[in-house]
Amino acid sequence: MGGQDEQLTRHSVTELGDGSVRLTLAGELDLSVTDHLRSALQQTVGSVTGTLEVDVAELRFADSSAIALWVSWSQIVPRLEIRNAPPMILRVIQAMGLTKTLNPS
Amino acid sequence: MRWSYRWVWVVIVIGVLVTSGLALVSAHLASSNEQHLLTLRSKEVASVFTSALPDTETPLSGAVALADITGADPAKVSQFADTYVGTPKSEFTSMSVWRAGHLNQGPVIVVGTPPELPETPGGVIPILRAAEHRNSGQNLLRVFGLLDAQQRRIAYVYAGSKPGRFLVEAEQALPAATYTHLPSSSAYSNINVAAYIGHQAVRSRLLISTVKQLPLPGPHATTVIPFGSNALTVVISARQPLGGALPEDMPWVIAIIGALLTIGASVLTFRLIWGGSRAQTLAAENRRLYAEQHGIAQSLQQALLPGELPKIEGVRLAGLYDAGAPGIDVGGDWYDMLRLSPRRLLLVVGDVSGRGIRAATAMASVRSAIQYAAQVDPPEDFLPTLSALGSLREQGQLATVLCVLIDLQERRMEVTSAGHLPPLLVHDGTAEFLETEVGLPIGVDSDCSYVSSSFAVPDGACLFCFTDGLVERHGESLDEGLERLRQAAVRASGDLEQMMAQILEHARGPESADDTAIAGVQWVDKTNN
Repeated sequence: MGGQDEQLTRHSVTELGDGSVRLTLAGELDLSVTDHLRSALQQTVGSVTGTLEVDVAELRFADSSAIALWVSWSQIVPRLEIRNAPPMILRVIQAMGLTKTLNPS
Repeated sequence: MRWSYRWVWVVIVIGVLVTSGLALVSAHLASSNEQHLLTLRSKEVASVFTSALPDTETPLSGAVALADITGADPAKVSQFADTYVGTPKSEFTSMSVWRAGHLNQGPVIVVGTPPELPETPGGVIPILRAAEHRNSGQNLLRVFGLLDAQQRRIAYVYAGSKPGRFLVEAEQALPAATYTHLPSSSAYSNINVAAYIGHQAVRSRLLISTVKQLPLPGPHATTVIPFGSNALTVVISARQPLGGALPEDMPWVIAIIGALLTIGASVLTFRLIWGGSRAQTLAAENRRLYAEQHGIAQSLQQALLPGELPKIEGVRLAGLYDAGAPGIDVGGDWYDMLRLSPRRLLLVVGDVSGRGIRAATAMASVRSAIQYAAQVDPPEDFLPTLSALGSLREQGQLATVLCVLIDLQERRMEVTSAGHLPPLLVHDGTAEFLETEVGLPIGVDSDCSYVSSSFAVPDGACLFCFTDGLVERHGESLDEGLERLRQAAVRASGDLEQMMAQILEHARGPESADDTAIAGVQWVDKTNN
């Protein structure tokens, strides 16, 4: 399972077993793609019964709509963890007081 | 019709003028070339006629010499003349010897048919007289004339070199019909020829013609050349163009090509003008639609922002909203300034994620809810209530909100942040962010709490609350943007509005598409007031 939502944004999904899923996002994630990404991953996110790991190591840019998307996922899945967040994204998560919601590392 | 379509007519007129000009020049060139070729051919034909003269001259000069030597001995002269007269191969129908000065006595010797004697203008005698008369002082003289006989004849007269002796006259029969058909294989098959004796093309003096109808039709060339003491007039016209068909047809070729080019150019011009005007119309329509939509977005945004700010003694207030890069989308940023009581002022700056009508309407509802809730509760109490409403959460949106509750009397402020960037305090040439505990943005969790931090207001301080559009740039850490803003705020001067404009100009990215809201408050120094 995988796809190309927009030229600048790519994502891939890996089942980790025990209901956990690793979602890898790459490229740039802003308002122009978040709506599309939200509907494209609705089923995947809805099926998670463990932890949703969002790997953003390859993400060059994420704006507030991307943060909003992750926050909305965090309310669907039992636990959401933002993995490998670049300092820039980490700083935004921290500035928005979302460290406990998005569990970045 | 638009004026610009007149260019089509201009193109047509120019095309017609140029085409007809070229066609006329070409026609003139073809015609003068044809005339030149005709003249050359007529000279050529005339030279063919004159080249036959020596053959005619020889028997006559021989006969004169013999008459002079023998004293016009009839037997000897006749014997000589017989070879030229009356035989199938001979040239002459008759030959006669006359004594100069005694023309009235008739010919001394006659060989062949008798000469045309009558003294009419068309007879032999006037021709002989002319030869006799002109004999003096000249060695040789040949006179030719066309005899006015039943059978057309041409007469040749040869006078001896010595005056007062003998003249020889010979007559040559011409075909009964002047018309001669030229075989198509002939070198002259492409021209019509008419040859006349004399200096003019007179029908009665026509020698020969290759057409029945005279004068020759169409363009013709005339050459007059000496023919003995007389002249030969040769007129020719062309049956087919001598220069070939191309020069003849060239004016038509030019006219047709020119007409086609003119039509093509005018059609092209029409299409260009039509296409251009259509594109202009479309562009104008697009501009109008864009301006309309942009206008709608702007109006909506303006309607959602506070109209008149409260007037409060001791503080100046200013708000600024910038839509970012040109676009028709409305944004989700806002600011608000609420006079809650005579001593309490609430500054609110917020940012609903996303853009467009959805963000703007969400922003409007959150703003309205705060306006209402702030009348009842302090920010740390109404923010959890707002978050619990859940309308944002259901749409996958969230809002960051910064509330600064100012106690005007105590000159203190309580800062509460729901996921929002900290306010910037500027005083005494320094600027610092008022770091507080950052709570969850609105719309993340219904169960959340907020902590407010209290700060004293220094004299003459300015406080700026802003949204992330002011500091966020692609490929740059948030802290870099915050530091740029801090430095811009330290450098800013003038009144509150001017400072905010400078901050916006220097802190924000030049191509930022994000919208930006800034709310500013300035405590006026008591000494300055």
